[in-house]
Amino acid sequence: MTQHGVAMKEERANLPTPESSAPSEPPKLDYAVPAKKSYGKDLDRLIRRLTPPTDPDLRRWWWRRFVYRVALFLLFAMIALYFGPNLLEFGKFTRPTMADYVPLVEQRGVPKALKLYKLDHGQYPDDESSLVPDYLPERIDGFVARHGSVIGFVGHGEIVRYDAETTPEEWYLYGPWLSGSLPLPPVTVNPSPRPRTRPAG
Amino acid sequence: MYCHRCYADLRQATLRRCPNCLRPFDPDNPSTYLVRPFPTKKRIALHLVLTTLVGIAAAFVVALHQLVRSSGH
Repeated sequence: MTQHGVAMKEERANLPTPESSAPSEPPKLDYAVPAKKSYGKDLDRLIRRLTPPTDPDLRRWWWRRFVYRVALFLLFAMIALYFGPNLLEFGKFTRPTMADYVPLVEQRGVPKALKLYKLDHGQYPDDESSLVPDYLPERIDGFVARHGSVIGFVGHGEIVRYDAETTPEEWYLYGPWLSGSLPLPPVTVNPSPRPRTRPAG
Repeated sequence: MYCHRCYADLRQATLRRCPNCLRPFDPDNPSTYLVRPFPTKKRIALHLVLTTLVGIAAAFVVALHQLVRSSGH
């Protein structure tokens, strides 16, 4: 027997015979098993949703939906950050301006009473109680007069101040929302006809 | 035909489900799909109402925060 024949014989001997091998199990099919969730697929889906489609018609509608969503967000932001808080805090949709404080200040007559007192007494009063009842009909809540200055505590945390001894005389507003000079002229008074209790100066 | 939820094109769907989000639809029932890939008028109105309500709720929080900050507490 040739060497090739010997090799073939050995190979044939090593092959398992049908009777000796155990019945093999059928291969497991894995296409029916749901695939595990992976970050990559979700990210791909998110990216697919955030990018416009290639079809021109669908692309046009995608951009319309995008503008619509941006408009909704802007509406929410305007209500939540501007109009809503202003309406709740100030009673109007916009922030208060200097002009809103003018009627509040004009209704008070404390600086005028202060100057009339000085004309009559030659000096400013120590406090606002001295102005009542000759120069003010009643004490005005929230306003304090001290030696030629008037300080008023108005709503929303603002303070208005009038200093009759500085140049120029002006109403000044200090507050968390606004600060600055109020558009009001200096307070002027005519000499009082009442007889003075103390000499002027 | 477009999906109510994700606005995907349902004309390519082989089964009666959206190929993107698997939302079921019935080709014979127009209420189960959209004619165009955009919210309906009813849904737009609902969006506006919800946005306004949520905005008002957020405005309360913002106003409270501003009041606390301005009062210095």
